[in-house]
Amino acid sequence: MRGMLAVFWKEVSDHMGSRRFLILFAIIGLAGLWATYVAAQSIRSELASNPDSRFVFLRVFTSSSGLLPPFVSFIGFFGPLVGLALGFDAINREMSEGTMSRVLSQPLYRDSVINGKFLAGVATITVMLLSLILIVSGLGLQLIGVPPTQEEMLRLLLFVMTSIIYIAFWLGLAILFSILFRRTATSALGAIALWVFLSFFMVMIAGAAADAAIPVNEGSPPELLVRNANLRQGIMRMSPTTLYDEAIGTIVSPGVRTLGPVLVQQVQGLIPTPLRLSQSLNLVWPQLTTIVALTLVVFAIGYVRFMRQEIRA
Amino acid sequence: MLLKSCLARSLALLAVGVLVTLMVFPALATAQPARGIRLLPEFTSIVIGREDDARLTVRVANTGKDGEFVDLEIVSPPSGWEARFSDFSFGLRGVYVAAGKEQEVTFRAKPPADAAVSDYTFDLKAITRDKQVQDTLRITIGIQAQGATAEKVQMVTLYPEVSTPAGASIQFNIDLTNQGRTDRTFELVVKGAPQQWTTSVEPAFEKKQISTISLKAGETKGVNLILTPNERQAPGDFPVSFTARSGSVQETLNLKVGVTGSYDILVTTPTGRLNADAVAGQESVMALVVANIGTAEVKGISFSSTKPDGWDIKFEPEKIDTLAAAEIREVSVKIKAPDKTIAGDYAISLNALGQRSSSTKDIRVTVSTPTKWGAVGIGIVVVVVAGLAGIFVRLGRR
Repeated sequence: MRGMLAVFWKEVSDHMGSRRFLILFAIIGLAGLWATYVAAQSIRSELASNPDSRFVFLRVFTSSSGLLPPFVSFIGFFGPLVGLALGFDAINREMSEGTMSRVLSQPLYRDSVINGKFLAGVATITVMLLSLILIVSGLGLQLIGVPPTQEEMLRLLLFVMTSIIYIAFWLGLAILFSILFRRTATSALGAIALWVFLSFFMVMIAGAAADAAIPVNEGSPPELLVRNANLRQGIMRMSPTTLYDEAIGTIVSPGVRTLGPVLVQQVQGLIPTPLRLSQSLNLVWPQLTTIVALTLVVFAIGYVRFMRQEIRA
Repeated sequence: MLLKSCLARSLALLAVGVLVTLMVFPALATAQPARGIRLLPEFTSIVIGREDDARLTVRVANTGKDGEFVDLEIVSPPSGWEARFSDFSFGLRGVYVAAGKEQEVTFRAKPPADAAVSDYTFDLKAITRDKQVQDTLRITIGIQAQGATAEKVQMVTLYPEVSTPAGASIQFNIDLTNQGRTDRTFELVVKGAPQQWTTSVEPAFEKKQISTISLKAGETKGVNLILTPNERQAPGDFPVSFTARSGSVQETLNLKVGVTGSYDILVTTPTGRLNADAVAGQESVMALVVANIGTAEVKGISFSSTKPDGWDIKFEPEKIDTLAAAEIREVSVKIKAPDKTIAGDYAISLNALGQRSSSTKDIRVTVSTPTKWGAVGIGIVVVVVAGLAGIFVRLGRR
């Protein structure tokens, strides 16, 4: 345990001091703050015309001003990049620089190295996200003057936790790539390629595959349209990006009632009111558990690979 | 000489002619008779009640060329009658009438209390003081059994029978006329209305309660009798009498108020809460209350609901045969939303439909989705964590 802590603190201080991390943090921070500021302006005028609307504070994070996407979208977009940046050279750089064998010659278990590196990455992500959320919350409080309710704080906490685990997934994936590939450039490019594929191409592939399997046009019966949409959504959900977007969208927007396509019969008599937190959680429970499980699985694969790896000087 | 004698003869003839003419037609010298009086009546025959005074205006006309002093007398009036000429305040026996003028006098006749029902004749005579010129006038006065204009108050209303729902007020517009000859104050009494009712008498066009009203002789005033049956008055017909009384003079108007039953039922929840919780695919029970807030019994109340497709809403009991006035009955409602319901709030309405009355209540149902898959998700995570722990144990500490 002492060995792991030594690795952990060393890695955290490396991360915090690295230019790579500072640049990413600055990008996300500035973009997020700017988006929040612009969104808060529109919330303020909206609030003046409709003062009894609920979950005002959460809108600081979910409102978009038209020009800029909302704060949560910035996190969803840049979060994976932070994870990748923190992990893509975690192992193979030490290998190529020859420091790994020197570290392992210390009285230190081998799993302490990978555990310490992973946890240090998670801690860095946590610090970054928490500080960002607090800054944005403070800015939001300053701009709209409405304090968050207990439920809003709970939803924000859930948002932060989900985001940490999601970014930890990309961190784990990057560490796995740094174990699999000897060259840092290869592991970086591989990880980014996978991110691009899962984030952007998955949407197109899902649409194309669903249309190929169940061809539909405007005149198709609703059952067919629903099956097509369900298939496309099912394919897209193979990507953790989709899972994260769905989970976060539901957690920070209490008004979201359902994620899939909906038949007209299902919305009869439906009153557009926000869901309770437990119901929102219930709705995205599969997404949340899948993200947690994926993160653990990716880390476990990297762990196993690292423990079995031959390390030569 | 011849001419002279001719002229003299002509003049003589003319003078003779004038003389003859004057002798044959003396009227040419005086065109009117020197004196003449007439008695000119307004009416010659009237009918009165036994208690009434007969009053007649008679004009004494002088047709002569000189003013005349005329004595007036009633020739042998029927026995018991008090008959005389009078002005406004005093009796008359003679008048002076200027030439060509008329003088109005009033002839009064008061029958005896026991006057028989019959016609009585009065000969009125006008004669000049020197008894040279006179005129007579015969007037007939008939006595009727009932006095045509006795001391009496008359009450008239246009609608003596009015219906109203319980709780709403009704108004009888009554015109009171004092048909007597004296001014009187009438006491107004309402009888027959049930005690719980609100009763008031108001003058027409005035907002104040009165219990008496003053009427001058012959005057007519309107009063409004306002009755308000109490809210819970059972339906039925209620006779109400309205009496105006002043001494022995009184009149009663019989009115009828029909109270119609009100049919009104209300559906609500015992707690007043208008939302319910339900789990998709599971039956949940909520209590409903049906109250008869009308005054009449409501029969055959059946229940229905407006709900989204696929929902199942059952009422227990399904029907209420009779619900007496002011009765409250509890009904349990079983709500089942289909399995695939999207979580959140839904609007349903629960309706009760009885004869002549219905009520509906909108309820918001908050549907939660069952959490059975949540356990599966946790199970998967637990398995993964266990797997990771297993790997740690097998591969760690190397």
